Amino acid sequence: MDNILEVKNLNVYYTDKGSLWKRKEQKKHALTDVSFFMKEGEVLGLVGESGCGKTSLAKAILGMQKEMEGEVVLRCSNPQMAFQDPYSSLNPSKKIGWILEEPLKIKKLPKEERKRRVDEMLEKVGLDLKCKEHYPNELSGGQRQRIAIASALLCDTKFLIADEPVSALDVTIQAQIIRLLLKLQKEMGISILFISHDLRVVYQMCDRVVIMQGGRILEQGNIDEVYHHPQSDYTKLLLEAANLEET
Amino acid sequence: MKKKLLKQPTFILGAIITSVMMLLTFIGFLYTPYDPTKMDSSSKLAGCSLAHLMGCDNFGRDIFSRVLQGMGNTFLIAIATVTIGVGCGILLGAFTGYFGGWLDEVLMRINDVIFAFPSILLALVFISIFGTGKYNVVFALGIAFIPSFARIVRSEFIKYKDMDYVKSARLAGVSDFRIIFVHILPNTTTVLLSSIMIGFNNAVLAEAGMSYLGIGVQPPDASLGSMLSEAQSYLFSAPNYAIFPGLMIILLVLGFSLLADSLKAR
Amino acid sequence: MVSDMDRLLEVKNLSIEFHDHDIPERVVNHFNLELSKGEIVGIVGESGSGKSMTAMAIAGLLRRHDMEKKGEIIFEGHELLHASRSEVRKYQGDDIGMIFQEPMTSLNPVKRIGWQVEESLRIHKPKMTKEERYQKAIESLRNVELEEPEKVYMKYPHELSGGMRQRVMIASAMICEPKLLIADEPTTALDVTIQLQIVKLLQRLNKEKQTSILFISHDLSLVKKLCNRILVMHNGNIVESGSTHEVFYHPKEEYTKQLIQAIPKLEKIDL
Repeated sequence: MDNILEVKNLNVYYTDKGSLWKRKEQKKHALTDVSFFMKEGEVLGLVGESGCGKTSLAKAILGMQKEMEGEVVLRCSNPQMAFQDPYSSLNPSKKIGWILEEPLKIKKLPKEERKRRVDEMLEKVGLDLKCKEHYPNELSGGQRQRIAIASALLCDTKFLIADEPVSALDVTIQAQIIRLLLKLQKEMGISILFISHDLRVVYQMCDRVVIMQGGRILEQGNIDEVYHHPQSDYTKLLLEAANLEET
Repeated sequence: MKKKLLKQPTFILGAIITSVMMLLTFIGFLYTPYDPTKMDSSSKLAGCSLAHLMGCDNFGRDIFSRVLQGMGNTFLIAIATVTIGVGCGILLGAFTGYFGGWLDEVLMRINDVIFAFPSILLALVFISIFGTGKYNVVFALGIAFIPSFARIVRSEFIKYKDMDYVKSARLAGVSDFRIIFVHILPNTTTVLLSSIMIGFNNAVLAEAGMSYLGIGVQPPDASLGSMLSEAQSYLFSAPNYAIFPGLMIILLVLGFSLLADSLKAR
Repeated sequence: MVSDMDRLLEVKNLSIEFHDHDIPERVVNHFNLELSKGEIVGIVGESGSGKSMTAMAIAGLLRRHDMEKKGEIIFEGHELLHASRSEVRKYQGDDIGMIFQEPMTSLNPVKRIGWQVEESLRIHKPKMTKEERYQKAIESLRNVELEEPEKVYMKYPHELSGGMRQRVMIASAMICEPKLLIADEPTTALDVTIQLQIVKLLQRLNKEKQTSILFISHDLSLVKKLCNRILVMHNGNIVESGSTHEVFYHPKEEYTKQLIQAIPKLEKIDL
């Protein structure tokens, strides 16, 4: 099986312009020597805390990063992304039906075809067809996240970056969304790069895991291996925080 | 949301005042009791009566008829001004806010320069170059109004362009043009609407001010501002000449201010 | 159950109803709670369960006119829910401290950390000199395990990380050595490893100062780590309450079971 994503020696910089008084442009590393790969149809966990370079990495993979060195090979034409905050990921002034049809309109599909696909996808993510007539603010956080996932998958993608898709949700809803993502991944054979800071959720979702801190990869590998024989102190700390010794 | 709006007393009052004024203006286009420019020396500076509801001016012209016509002029100028300001402002604000970069810097500095001039002064400069007249007033004021709208739209675009839904639209292959006008612009309407109301007020006042200075609507055509300027020599002998046009300006501005307030409070 | 001596806080039949819509909305329904000195009680629930409203009511922060509050909140024998604003202020910041979820917005961005930490001293201990206040603030900052408290004292909130800000918040809530600390989702906005540190800090402060803590959270695993007793709230009602062990290992109500079920576990999901 092919690798859908290969990242080799990726370095990403940002320029620190300094303060108003000290004009001193500095190049700083957002990512340092990041290398990993993803197999087709796999769910890869990416664990790290705020500021560890997850966003830069996602941007680099999606081709939105300007200042970068290294190699990113993505064997998929239209990568998609699901975001953390279900309140800013949907256009507040449009109805759900419009939001879901938008990517299909861009592809210039006829109206009946669009409607059929949207209805099909809504069923897949477990939502009522009536929700098409609602505005995003009339839905709950969990429902919005389902819509966001549906809208990403409507682009017929094989590769999805899920950036903390459950961490803004209540626990019971979290469990539902994780099950949904897993189900969709199996059914549609998509590869998911699953970003999270909760090691328990990552364990449920993923087969392999990459642990990042400060723009570097600390360790990566088979999830059971990493969890049972953590190499770095940071991984150990994460494991302790995730309460693993008790469960 | 709509239901709540109808329960607000400010909105109801504003809507009533504005619709009455609009109705009067509309009537003024179709019908005035007398010809607004017809002079009648027998009724010079006549007081209020049944024949002349608001009395007559120094040439014996019916003030009520002139107020109706003047409101029409004022209204048209204000609407045209705001349309120019909003139209260009949206384009400018949307593109600079969305794309940023050096173009944004340059345009916004030009914006600042225009903004730094009082709009009346800017219009005066414009008119001293191109001459007086209704249309020149519209252009002059319109240009002076662009910066304030451009700023509002720009800040809204800066707020929205980094939201996740815009990112996912971009990932879905939506063009920048469509993102700007279909995905982001509708979200700015609430903010834009109330500033349009306020802009309309400013336009009414600016037009009145310019006509008062004698560089706006030219006689014998009437506008609320030019009537006020003519009336000031007769303030004591015929106060009704100044009171009625002034009252109309106040009501126009009040109506729109109330509407803008209630929209903002939403 | 609890003797009068040990009882710090008692909430009886607290109900809160909003009246800002056409239909009144009851967000808290007959809430009862007894909290003794040195105890840590957790209130657990999902968003919209009324747990934050309850916390705000106890802290005396619900002062709006479009809501109806019924019941009693008795803190050391004084009724607070219907007391006057000036009465409640005597306790706020002195005997009752509170920390919030967002360490970004709960500090004033234009004031130095030291100024903010000292604020409640200025109000409740007006006789203190400037020097004493400074000493006390430094001590309080050191107590929440901030390194180089003298430097932190001079900094502005934006110069600190989220975890450090939350520590500053705790320092300023603890400076008057309150008997009760209300923590409303204090760790939700923080990274997991920082969450753990904050929980450990709260545990230590509770042991050392005998401060009672009312810990509000949606994260059951954190609550389990920290609290002696738990109240589970759902739609404004208390669904279940009891000791942490009892609730976790012998839950009676269906909803509690669901919540515990939903805690992510270290096992693969069968679809």
